[in-house]
Order: sequence, then structure tokens, then C-alpha cells
Amino acid sequence: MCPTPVGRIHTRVATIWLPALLGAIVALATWNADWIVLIGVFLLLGVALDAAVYSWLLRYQSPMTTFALAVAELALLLVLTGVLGLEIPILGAIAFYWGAWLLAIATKIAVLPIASLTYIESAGEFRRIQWSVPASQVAVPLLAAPDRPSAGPGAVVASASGAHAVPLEPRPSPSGVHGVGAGALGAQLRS
Amino acid sequence: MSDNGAEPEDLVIGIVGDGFGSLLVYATAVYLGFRPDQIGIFGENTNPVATYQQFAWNLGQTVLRSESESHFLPADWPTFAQVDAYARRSLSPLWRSAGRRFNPGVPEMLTEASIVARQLGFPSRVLGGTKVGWVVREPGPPLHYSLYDEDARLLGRCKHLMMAPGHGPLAFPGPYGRAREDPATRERVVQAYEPKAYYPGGRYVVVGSGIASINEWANAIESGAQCIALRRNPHPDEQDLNVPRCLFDGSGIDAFQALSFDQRLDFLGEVLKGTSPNRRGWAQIVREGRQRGLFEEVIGSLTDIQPGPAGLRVKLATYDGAEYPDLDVTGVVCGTGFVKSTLSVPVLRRLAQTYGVPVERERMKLKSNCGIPPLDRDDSRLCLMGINANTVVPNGDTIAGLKYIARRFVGDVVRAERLRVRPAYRRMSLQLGLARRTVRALRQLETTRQLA
Repeated sequence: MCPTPVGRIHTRVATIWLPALLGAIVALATWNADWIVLIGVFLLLGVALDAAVYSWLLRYQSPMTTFALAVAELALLLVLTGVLGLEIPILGAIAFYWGAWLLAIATKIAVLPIASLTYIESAGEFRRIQWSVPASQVAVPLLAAPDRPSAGPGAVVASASGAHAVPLEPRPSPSGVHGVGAGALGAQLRS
Repeated sequence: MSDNGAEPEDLVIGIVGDGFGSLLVYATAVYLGFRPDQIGIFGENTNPVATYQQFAWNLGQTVLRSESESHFLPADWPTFAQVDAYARRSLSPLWRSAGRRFNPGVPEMLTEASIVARQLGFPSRVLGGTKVGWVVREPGPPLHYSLYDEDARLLGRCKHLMMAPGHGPLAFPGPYGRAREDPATRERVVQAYEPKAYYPGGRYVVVGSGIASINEWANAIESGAQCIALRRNPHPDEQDLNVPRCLFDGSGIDAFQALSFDQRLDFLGEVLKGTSPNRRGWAQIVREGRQRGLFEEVIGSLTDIQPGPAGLRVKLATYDGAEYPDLDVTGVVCGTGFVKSTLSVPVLRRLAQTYGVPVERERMKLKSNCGIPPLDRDDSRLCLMGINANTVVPNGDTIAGLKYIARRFVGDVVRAERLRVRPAYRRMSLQLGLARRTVRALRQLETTRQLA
């Protein structure tokens, strides 16, 4: 897959539910809320890396690369665990991380493509099943003819000529450079 | 299949064509919640793999160039490598897939396609049993399309129509076309996709450097014949797929669609030049062929083909301008693919002539949703898929590209018809049911040898 930055974040957030559930279960079992915090750090770290690093570093991401990134993220997570002073044994954190990662990856592989039919081909994004560029949003050349000309004269042309022409009041010259003329019409306008 | 005398049906979705594209539109529509009797397929075959199977057989093709994600189940999971691994109880397909070295075997993939078609009732929805000759826009209400065969018999009516007529005829450019028209040389100039035989001791020129040509190199060498591989392009990409990989998903297609129509055509001309897959199986056959004096690669093109003592006498113009004497060869095999002109497909040509569909450089100028202007509308879609739609979706003629178009077309129809989509758990159940049957069928097949 060649995930977009948005696709990476969609995927990261959509796959966190089962790891979060695992964190909740472990936290309740050990009566230690730091497991929940660890999942939160895991998510924030992932989103930060997706947004700031992976999005420009990796265009095409193979399954092998995904695994290599998981190993690197584990190392970073362990560093953050120490920095934040979470009271979690290091071996426990490693085992928990791989459990959470497997749940996330299983969700990504098996659940998301069923939940969203176009998930994979939309580069990991949850889009409506629709075209990349809807026909209504295609850029069109800007022309001076706003609509197809009608067969006969329209209201504007009809009022300007012919039997039912509406008299047109004189107005100043539209030019901002040349002032109002000095002739009879100019005098009439100035008066 | 309903016969020609049957009453034409009124349908929500009509599909012109009976191949892979047609199956993918049908499967997606059923998966999302349309009933089979709301869909009609207009073509000659009740078996959607028949055409491809014949081409693959003629080519001697054993694996698809597609990767694991390209398969015929309606949703993307399980992938073909996962299904294959489960069926064979082997991790090898998964390992290969992780390294992008898994190519589904032709028998396996066609088996899956046949199972999906049969389980979802595709054969019974092939209506008329003949090719569509004419498509007529009817004002309704509601707006719809009437489909007629070549003899102007009404086949059916539908609110939304997908045109999936497949490739144009086989291409024989320049001297190859002239040689095909000459009775003295006709039998010795064949297309890679046509039935053919190599004879030991023969000498064959194989033109082109795509997958079809490379297959033919291997076929010629393995039969004990000499093969002169002739290609125009001195620097083919080492790319297994016919467009760069990231063009296969939304980000690539977004970028492609940001180009103007002319830029897209130029881009396709660039990326669709000869590709030279670096697969070990083929590489080994070619290396052995070279050692045995059976294989040589020449960059250039044939300028003339005449009858000769060995069958043909051909004139060669090389890329570097080197002088070659005329060559005596047994035959020429053209891996030159299909005619890409939209106008080579009769039903599309008539559509363009009748309704003033814009055509530029022999390709229809489709809307960004593959709609055919000026007939296509949100409430009555008229779409085109396959090679003729690759100006919108660059891999439009691959399984992945066909699936991309099929899903979005059906998505549009779902919105237009306000269909209540099948719930996720029932979609999962349908998907897993199809996967389970595929697994059972794959266990009856011998494993196809991987080439990568």
C-alpha cells in the first residue's frame, strides 16, 4: 500500500480499539492505570510519527517495512515509558506492546477492508465509495461565455434595440483615465 | 441464461460485456445489497473467465502479473495469498506476498473467479446470449438505456449501464499488419495471444518486451527453437506491473487525474512501454537459452517481411544503426498487445457516432468518474471500464483497476437508488463464505510454480 498522511492517521486511530480494550483489561487485572496511559502514548507516538516522519520518508510501504517500523516504535515507546515514569516492568511492556500491535495489525488487515470497501485502494483512508475527483469538481476552462447562446435575442438584447427598446439614460464614461467629455453630453452630465 | 426469445427485462444495473470487469461489477453490486434480478449482464458467455482463459492458454501463461490484492472476492480481505496459504497449509504464499513476490497462479485465480460467479448467480443473469450492438438513451421517465443486438433486437433496458466490452482486436502494427494481409506470409506472423506452436530447430522473432513477449521467449527456448527477442525500447523498466505501483491506489489515481487529458495520454504512453519483469524463472530460462545459442536480444524493429526459404525473410533496422543482413526465420510472434483505439470496439464507436461522445487521439474523453459524456448523469449513469478507461484510472485494464471502477460505479448507483446497503456482518458472512469455498476448491488443484 502507498498510504497517504491522512490514510496513516485514519488507520492508526481506527486500529486502536482492540489494543485499548487489551490495555483496559490488563489495567483492571493489575489495578495499574499506567497500562491505559501506555496505550495512549502508543497512539500519540504513532500519530506523531505518521504525520511528521513516515509521510515524507515512505511512499510505498511493504509488509516488511511495517514490521521494521513496529520494532523502531517499540524502542521509542520504551524510551517514553522511562521519560514519563510509567510504573510498568520493561518485559511486561514489551509483551504488551507486541500483543497490542498484533491486535492492531489484525484489525487493519481483516476488519477495515470489510468495514470500508475501498479502504485499501483509498491508500488507508476511510472515504465514501466515490471517485477521487467527482465529475462535478473537475476544473473547467474559464470562458467569457457563461452559457450557451439562445436561439433568438434575449431580454437584454431585446431591450437595447427594436420596437420595444427601453431608452438608455446617459452615464459617465467608464474609463478611469479619461474624464467626462467636454462636449454637449458632458455638459449635460455635469449639470 | 435467458434465450433470445425471452422477454427483455427492465433492470437497475446493466453490464455490457461478460468478462472480468462484468463479474467484478456484478459481485460488488450483490455484495452491497442489490438482488441478482436487478442486474443483467449482456454478453455471449455465462463463464466470465472464458476469454481470459483462452488468451492465457495461447500465451502459455501460468501466473498472473497481478499481486495478492488483485482477486475476485468482493472485498479486499482475505487476499489471494492468504486464501492460498490457508488452502495449502503453507506459509510460503504469505512470505512471498510480504516480499511482493507472490503472483497468483492462473488456474487458482480462475477457479476463484468461477466460484464467485457461480455462488452469486452470475450465469443466470447473462441475458440474451449475444453481443450488444447498440445502446440507446431513452428519456423515460425514468431515464434509462435500451440495449439492442447487432440485428436491432431489443435485449433489455436498464437505468444504469456499465460498458465493459474488453480489449479491441489484436494489434499488428506496420509491417506485421502488411504481412498478415499477404497470403504468402499470413500464417507465419502470429500474435502472442493467438494459438501457436514452436518447432525444435525453428527460429522465431518475438517482438516486444512486455509479459506476453517474455512468456514467448521462454516458450520458444523450452521447445528447442531459436528466439530473437526484438524490442524497440533500450531501457525497459524492471517493473512487474504495467504501471508504477503507487498508481494503483487512491493517492496515485488522484495525482493522475490532476493531469490534463493530453498529459494523461502522454504519461500512459511513457509508462506502458515495454516492461521487463526480473523474475528468476524466466531469467534462468533465458540465461540457459543464451548459453545454448538459442536466444539473442536485439534492439530495433522489423521493416519488411517477405516469404523466404525458411518461411520468412525479414529486414531488420537496429536501434544503433548497425547493419544486419536479411534474416531467414520460421515465424514472427508479435507481443504487440491489442488495438487501444476506442473506435475499434463497434458498440463504442456507434455510441460515439450517435451521441457525439468526444473522442481525442482515438480515446473517449471520459469524465473523471469514467462517465461517458454527454449521456452520463448522476441519476442514470453510463460508465466505461477496462483499457478504454485508463485515461481516468491508469491501471483500468488490471484486476485492481477494474475493481476500483466497479466499486465506484456501484457506489454511485447505490446513492442514486437510495439502496439500503447490506449490513457489515452480512457482508463479512458473504465474503467468508466465498473464501471458504475457494479454499476447498484450491485444495483440489496442483500448486502452480511461482516464477519470481
